[in-house]
Amino acid sequence: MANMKILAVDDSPTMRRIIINTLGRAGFTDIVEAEHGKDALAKMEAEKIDFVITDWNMPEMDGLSFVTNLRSKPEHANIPILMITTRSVKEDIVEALKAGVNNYIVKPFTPDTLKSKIDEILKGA
Amino acid sequence: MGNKKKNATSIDTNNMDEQASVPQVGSTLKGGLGALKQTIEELSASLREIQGPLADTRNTLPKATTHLDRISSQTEQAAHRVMDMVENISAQQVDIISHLNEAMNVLTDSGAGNKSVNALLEKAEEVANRSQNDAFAIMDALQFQDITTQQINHAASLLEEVDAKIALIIGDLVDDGSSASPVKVLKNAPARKERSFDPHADMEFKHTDQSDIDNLVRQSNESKS
Repeated sequence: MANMKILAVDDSPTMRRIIINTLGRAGFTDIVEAEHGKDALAKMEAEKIDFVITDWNMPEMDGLSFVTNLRSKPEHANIPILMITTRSVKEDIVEALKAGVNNYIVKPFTPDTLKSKIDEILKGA
Repeated sequence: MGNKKKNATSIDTNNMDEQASVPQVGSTLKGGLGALKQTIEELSASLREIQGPLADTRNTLPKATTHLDRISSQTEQAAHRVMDMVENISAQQVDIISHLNEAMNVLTDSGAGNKSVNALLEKAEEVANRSQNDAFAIMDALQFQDITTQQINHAASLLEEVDAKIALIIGDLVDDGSSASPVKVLKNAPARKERSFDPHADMEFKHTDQSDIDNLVRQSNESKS
């Protein structure tokens, strides 16, 4: 699945660059960027995305609304979604899982954690 | 009739009592109102006194938020400069490793290689790999920039709230210009930036650690299946 197309959604250009670099080291090089949920939805319309990595706190449309929106569309009902955010309160994590994220990482993250969560999602764990 | 007369007398007595108490109530009320008037005058004077400093504070707060935004922007630029350098270093390490491998192959193919030279080349490759991992670690550490930007946005947002509260106190509000149902907005306020942040964002502290998150994910998956 190293050739899958990943959408990285984060309003921080620094964080997008770190995520893209980390993914590159893990062998994932086909990556599309988006600044927030609205931008991400437009990118999802424009090209076929295989995997989504999204932040929570973003302007325009936050990550939770984006995930809820994606899950409401039959064509994206099963797309793997990994949330990477600073939000570490248990209630937030439960809310994100209910909204439809497949796995959840709290920033700052390590490259190993990112790789293992992607693997877990792809294996359907 | 006797009763009526008695009642009338009684009423008269009551009237007399009431008439006697009215000046007392009036006097108390007058005294109270006088004290209230004095308090209001003192309060007004105090408000007039603090109005100047509060107005000055209103002038300072937008500068403080602008300053905070500039800090965010500058740390972001600095983080990208560091990332540029890390990517250059990383690309150079890849070149070094590739050249070392080439050198080893050339030596082996030409029959000039020997164990000690190969060992030295392998050692150099190890060092190059370690140095590349260190460069990646610098890149990973730059996540602080996103987290501190969220903390700065939180602080700026609190300052904007204080600004709005001060404007309410000193009446520094104007209609927003809409003719149908004007809303009071801050006078002389810069356009408020949309800020997205996690108020609990922290580099060191996490309310839930990754192993507990993994358990929550597992429970969620089990409840779905």
